[in-house]
Amino acid sequence: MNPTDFEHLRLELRRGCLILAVLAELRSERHGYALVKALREGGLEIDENTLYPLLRRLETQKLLASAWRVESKRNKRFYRLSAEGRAVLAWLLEEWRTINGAIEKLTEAPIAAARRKA
Amino acid sequence: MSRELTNQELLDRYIQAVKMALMLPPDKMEDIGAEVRSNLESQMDDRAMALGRELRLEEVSAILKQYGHPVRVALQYREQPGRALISPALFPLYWFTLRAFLAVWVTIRLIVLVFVLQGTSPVGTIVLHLGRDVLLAAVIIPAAVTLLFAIWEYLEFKFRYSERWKPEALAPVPPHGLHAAKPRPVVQIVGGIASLIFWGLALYSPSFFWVWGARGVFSPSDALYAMRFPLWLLAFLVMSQSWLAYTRYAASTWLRVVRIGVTAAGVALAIVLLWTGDLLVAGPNWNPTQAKSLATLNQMFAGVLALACIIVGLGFVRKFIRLIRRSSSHPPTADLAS
Repeated sequence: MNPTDFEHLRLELRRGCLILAVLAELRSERHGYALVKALREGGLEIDENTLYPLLRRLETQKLLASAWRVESKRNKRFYRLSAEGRAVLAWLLEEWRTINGAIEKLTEAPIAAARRKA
Repeated sequence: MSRELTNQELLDRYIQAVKMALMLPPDKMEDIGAEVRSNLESQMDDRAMALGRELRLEEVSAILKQYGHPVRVALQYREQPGRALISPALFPLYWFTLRAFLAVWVTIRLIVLVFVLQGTSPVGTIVLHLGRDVLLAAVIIPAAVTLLFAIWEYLEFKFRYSERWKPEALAPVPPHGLHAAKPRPVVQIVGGIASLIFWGLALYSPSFFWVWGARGVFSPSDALYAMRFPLWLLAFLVMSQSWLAYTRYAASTWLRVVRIGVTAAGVALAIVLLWTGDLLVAGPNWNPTQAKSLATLNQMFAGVLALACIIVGLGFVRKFIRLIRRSSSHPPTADLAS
């Protein structure tokens, strides 16, 4: 597989996880750049050009609420999880755990079989 | 001598370029522009704090460059960001060209329907013409323009914004903001194409015009006929320089020079035309009862030309006064050419 194809697959895999991470981080209010830094510190590197439009889409879906406020003499847009967003986050986390468990099982079974053969 | 660009000006240019590429309603455009600005300012503050000093221009430029080309940033904010047929780099130009073509097509067909077919064809024929025009405008023109740009994209025409761009080369923010400046090129291109067609038909084939119930009622005057090529060339140049304003050459000095030259040539040609007197004279099918209408038409043309000269002249005077004021309010190193 060439690197471009792999990158495409990797991005696809990350896309869904990213929404989950963003929703989880916005349980406490943050402005865009602070969110980028928090995600980065949590080990999730993200392209800012992907994040900000994503925030707007999540806001359009009423999962986030935003407000402009002045902080350190700068006008900044602060995002936080809405009530609907909290419910969706809980469902998504549940889904995430199910998927994660299934993937673990599916990937571990062939490895264990291979070990037994060896 | 050039005044050095400030960090704030560079950021303003970048935000303006993002907003222009968004092609969204003004309220959304301003909101997204403010958000991008806020994010960039946060990054710059962070960087300045880490360095313990104010950022230099090249450091601000590096942050903007890393943030991405304004077109790419803008495209991420659009409703459907994934466009494979036409890349983010070409999309604004494609969208603009498509709208310009459609505007010209609709204008021309409306003129033909209202002035040429009216009274000479039955209503049914006009409706049929209208139906065909709608089909052409809705399907064939977008398809043709899209195909052209898709081929352009495929051939990887040397138009790679994302790799070669420099934040410093972005267009300066116009003094009255983005809204005042944005529609100008569209109007110029549509006007330019309409002028090309009009002058082409009027001067090379005056008998095309069906007015007052017959063809060949009027002809261009000798002076106007003699100037047909410069007029056609002027319309072509106006159109081309407006189109170039949507390309990466928008902020280049040579384009500014061309713009000034084209405007000056336009004023000069208008003055010469006004000087020569009537632009239209009686044609082979003219009859004396149309004399008053012909005179009115000539007066109208003369009025439009005179008005255009006055407006452009006043524009020049205003710019000149502003230039003098700016140069007197800046230190001696200020940019007198900006």
